[in-house]
Amino acid sequence: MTGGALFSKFGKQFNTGEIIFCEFEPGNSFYLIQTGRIKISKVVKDKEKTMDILGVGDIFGEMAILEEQPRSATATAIEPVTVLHFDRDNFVSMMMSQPQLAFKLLVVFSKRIYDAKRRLMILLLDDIQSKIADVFLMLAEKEPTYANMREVSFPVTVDDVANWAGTSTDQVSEQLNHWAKIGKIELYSDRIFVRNMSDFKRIVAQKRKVEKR
Amino acid sequence: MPITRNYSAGSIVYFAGDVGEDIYVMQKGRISLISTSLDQKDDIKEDVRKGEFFGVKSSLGRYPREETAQVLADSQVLVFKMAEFEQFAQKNTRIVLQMLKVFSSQLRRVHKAVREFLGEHGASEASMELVGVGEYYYKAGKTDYALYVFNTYLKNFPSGPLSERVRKLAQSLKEGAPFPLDLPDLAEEMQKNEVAHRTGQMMNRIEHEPVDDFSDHSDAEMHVDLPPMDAVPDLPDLPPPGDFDMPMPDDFGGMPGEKTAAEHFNEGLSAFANQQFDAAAQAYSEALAQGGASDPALHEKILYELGRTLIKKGDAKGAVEKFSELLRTFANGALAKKSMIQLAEIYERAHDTARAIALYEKAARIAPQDKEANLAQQKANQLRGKK
Repeated sequence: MTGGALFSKFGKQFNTGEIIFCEFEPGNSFYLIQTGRIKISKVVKDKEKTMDILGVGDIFGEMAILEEQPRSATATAIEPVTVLHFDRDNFVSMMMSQPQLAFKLLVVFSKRIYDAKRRLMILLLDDIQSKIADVFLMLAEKEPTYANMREVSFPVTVDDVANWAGTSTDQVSEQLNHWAKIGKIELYSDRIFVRNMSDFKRIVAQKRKVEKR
Repeated sequence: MPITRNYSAGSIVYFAGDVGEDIYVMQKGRISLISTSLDQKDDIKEDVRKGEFFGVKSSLGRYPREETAQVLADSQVLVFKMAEFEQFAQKNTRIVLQMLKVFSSQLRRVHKAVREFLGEHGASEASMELVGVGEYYYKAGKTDYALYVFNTYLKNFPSGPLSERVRKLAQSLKEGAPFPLDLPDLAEEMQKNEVAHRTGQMMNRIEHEPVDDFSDHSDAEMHVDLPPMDAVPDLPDLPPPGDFDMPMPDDFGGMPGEKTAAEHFNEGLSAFANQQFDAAAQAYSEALAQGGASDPALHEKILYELGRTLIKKGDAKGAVEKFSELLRTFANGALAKKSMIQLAEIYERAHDTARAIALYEKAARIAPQDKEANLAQQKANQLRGKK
């Protein structure tokens, strides 16, 4: 199939500001951006939060091809956008005719598997202190420029950390305040500054060692 | 062009934690992948079979190796650089599709475990969250977005528990009115709406299975019979869609018209959430007919949900039969306590107090001593008091 024929069959256009899909909406198709950019956002505690901005060649909504779960975020066009959309029925034929897309999906899945496993590793820790410490380690791993830095300023809020750790904001807040008091971290409204990442590495490594028995 | 590399017994191809972009295919010898389970409790050791790729995910995802690849006997492997693998992938879409299948099932399992851990919502509770997002947009003055969300709700859940509220909201939105203040709080309405709420809880509960031990989470991805490298042919011209010989990977859904038991079951759940109890009962029966009984966990869920649906349909006798069947077949099942409580409620409604008390007490004794057990005990005490 040529690009044009492909688009006429599976293409879709959205205007600036138009919703492509909404958080919690049931859905079973995923998208490849042909032109324009989109925003991925979530409503968290009565505030809309931008999670990501995606552009040409990016894939989004791919989880729908795996499981019948509602969308985990909202996708909105922030420019005029054209996308190709796929679902379970046209998936295999699309992949066969677009080998670079199949490869791209392989890359996306590789990343997602690691992210999800890493998230689960945090959740499986059984005390709040090591959970929170591991959240910061995970955030540092995602950002190569942080590698091996002693001090890191993370652009995250207490709510973000609580969300990653899978616990309540109150609990997380209590622990972070304690760390702030003893000078391990500095808390700001829009970021958290960690004085010494190796402290957190030690907390988590010890915990994991104990669990390993 | 990928190169062939030889390793002698006792050497290491890479260590867990290493960063590397090479992708390997086992050709001959013996190599073992050694990793630690996600909960850190076990070491996992797995031999790479001949023709199998390893090191793919960590290379493509650009994260550290998760396992150590240890050479147990003199071995020969094929080594791809990333760019070479990409080229190879473009020409061998079928292999990529098979890898996608393996990856997607891994991803799905990890996601499921995460969701279970967080106790996240099933479909029906998500439908309420959807309304919450719409109301947020309404209040924030993003009218188009709010309307999109409300229409989405009505399209997917036309007779859902919040459909009346959503219709009202959509109407007032179209009239350009501010957010109606006389509307009860959404959170309250969610709680009030017992049917939907309980369905939500059920979804959590029944989807809960023991956390996966991830015993096969190694990076050995896909068995591929590779021809000698100097003779890797380009794939012939791709056959037209629908004509290739590879079976549809079942992780991407079955053939149209052949729904699996699990799919029928899910249909039943969403019909129930939409209060379409006839359709739900029908779907659960289909699920049983499609082999739902061959998977014990699913079988138990189907029986339980069918019982609940029959109560809604007013068929108490049928419901008693289903819950009893469940208790006979899965005496120690995950849903045994809940089934006993359901039965107790049926008898209580039928004024068979003695039986109701006996069942509540029995349910209360089933470990763990959770909220349900406590409630069951309270019910029993209450009925004893009345009696």
